[in-house]
Amino acid sequence: MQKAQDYYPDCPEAFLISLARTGDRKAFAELVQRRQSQVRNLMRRCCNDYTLADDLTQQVFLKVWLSIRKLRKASAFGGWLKRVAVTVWLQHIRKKDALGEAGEMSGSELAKSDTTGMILDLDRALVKLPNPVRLCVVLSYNEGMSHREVAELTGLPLGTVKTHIRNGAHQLQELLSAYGDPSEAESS
Amino acid sequence: MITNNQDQILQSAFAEARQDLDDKALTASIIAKTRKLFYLLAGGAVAVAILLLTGTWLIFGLPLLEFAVLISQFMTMALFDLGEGWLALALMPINNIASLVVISAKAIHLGWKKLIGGSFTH
Repeated sequence: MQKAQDYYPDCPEAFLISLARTGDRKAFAELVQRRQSQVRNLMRRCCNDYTLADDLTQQVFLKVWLSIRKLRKASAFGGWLKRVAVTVWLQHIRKKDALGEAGEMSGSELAKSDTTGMILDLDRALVKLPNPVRLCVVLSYNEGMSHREVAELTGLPLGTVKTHIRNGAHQLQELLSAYGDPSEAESS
Repeated sequence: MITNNQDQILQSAFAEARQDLDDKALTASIIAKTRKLFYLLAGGAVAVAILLLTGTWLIFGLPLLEFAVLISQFMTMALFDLGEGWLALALMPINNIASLVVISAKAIHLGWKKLIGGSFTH
């Protein structure tokens, strides 16, 4: 006999969120399974350290588990998850700042066998950007968010966000071409 | 200045970098952590409750005990002085304030029931 949980992979996300709100761990596991790739990609672009990115992803989902009951609309889950992820990332940066390790993004765990040259180039280029600039650029280009949405999410003034994205994109372009960006060949 | 072409290159670079990172082990690890977190929070709540109860008992325990003794002494006070003979012994169970309180409460309860029952007869 099939259990109700066996149908979770086919359930709409809103339904899973409602179940997770009542404390259903299986429903939450399905939510994590569906959304982890998005959060891990965001964290990888932000921190350039895959082990750290996975640790931060776990922190994000633990925070989500603890406060999912506060989420009023299931449709707002995606945006809320991004907000939690950004908060976790900002807290991590602040902790690093407090420990005097600001800017120490070595990317020691970067070289992975499943990582293509383009991703390596992009992540290496991203890590050279200052933290706030990198976050704005990642949210804009990786998450496809508008400048206003980035400003709301990060709490930075809109003008600052625009400047960060413009400067960051410019620096990234230069850094990517310096790495011998494969997309350069495409564009030329 | 970033041109549209350069911006497209950046966008495609980010799109290319976006990998499908489904990992069942990570999901299992997160769920295991939620379970641990639950036990940790539940354990913390129990510990705090025990501490609060112990603290409350230490602060209010003795005054509450004294209050209870005073109440019991007051409740067993005789209503009528019947001396120390057999009559006093026989009426002891009802010749006190506690029995008066119980009988009064019962009378009020019966009266209330009659009053309520009467209002629903018609």
